[in-house]
Amino acid sequence: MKKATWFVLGLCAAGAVFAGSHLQANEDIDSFEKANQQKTLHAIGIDVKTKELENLNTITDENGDKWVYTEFTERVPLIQKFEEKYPEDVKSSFIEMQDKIMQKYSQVGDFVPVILLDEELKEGSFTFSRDNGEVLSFAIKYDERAGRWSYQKVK
Amino acid sequence: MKKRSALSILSAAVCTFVLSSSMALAKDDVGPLGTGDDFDIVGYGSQVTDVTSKSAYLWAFTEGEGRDLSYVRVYSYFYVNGQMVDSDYTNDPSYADIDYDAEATNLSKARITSSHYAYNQLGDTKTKTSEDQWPN
Repeated sequence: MKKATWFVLGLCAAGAVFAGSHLQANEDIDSFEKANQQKTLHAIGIDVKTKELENLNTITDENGDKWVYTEFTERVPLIQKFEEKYPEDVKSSFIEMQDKIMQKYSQVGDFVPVILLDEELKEGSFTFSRDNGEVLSFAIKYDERAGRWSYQKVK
Repeated sequence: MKKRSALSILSAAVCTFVLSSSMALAKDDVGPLGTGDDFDIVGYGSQVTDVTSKSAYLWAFTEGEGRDLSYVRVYSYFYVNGQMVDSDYTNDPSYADIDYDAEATNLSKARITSSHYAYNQLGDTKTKTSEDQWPN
């Protein structure tokens, strides 16, 4: 076989190894993220299989209550549901509340927060866990009288 | 006497200029009283770009427009390999942007989510959210 052919074959093999290792690394990170979401949910009394952790999927807690699941880093579809269902100020207040929680409590090293809302999108929880195992959970609720979302730290 | 006349003419000219300038400025300010509704977010987004096996550039912006626009704001949250590496926010009268140079020994995943705000003088708010991740 000519030298050039060996060179091309070698290049292809190296490319395949790189692509394979990168794919493996991505799968590892995805599994790592899902495992952290499971731990976060477990801390607030919800046990789910990783395949249930799909954005806007409905999951059930130990009391049989149903919650719409959203990852904080994939919240745009949830916000679109708000836009379809409620006026601008309800949506704005919901986003503002998340920023207030994040600005006050989040730290470098935290895992991606989980947002759970009831099917009416009026109450739920905002929860995230830390590297050291600490879990911070906030009960969140739309206050009809005040016309805004509020939060309360529960864990 | 001549000197006094010259001063009077000069003074009258200055007065006329100041008066006409004030009237012109006042005329510009006159208009129908605003309801505060003329403000909006006209551009916003979050992006992960320039990705290598060890680095990525994450950035976001909010652009606002309108007579009643007071200022715009963007909050961004940056995650690398599943964990938060930074969060920050910035304000600007009409265009706020924020960025982060992510670095990791082995960068397998980078994510950004942002909240975009436009405020009017009354404190009313328009909001959007955006996000991006690598790999998609």
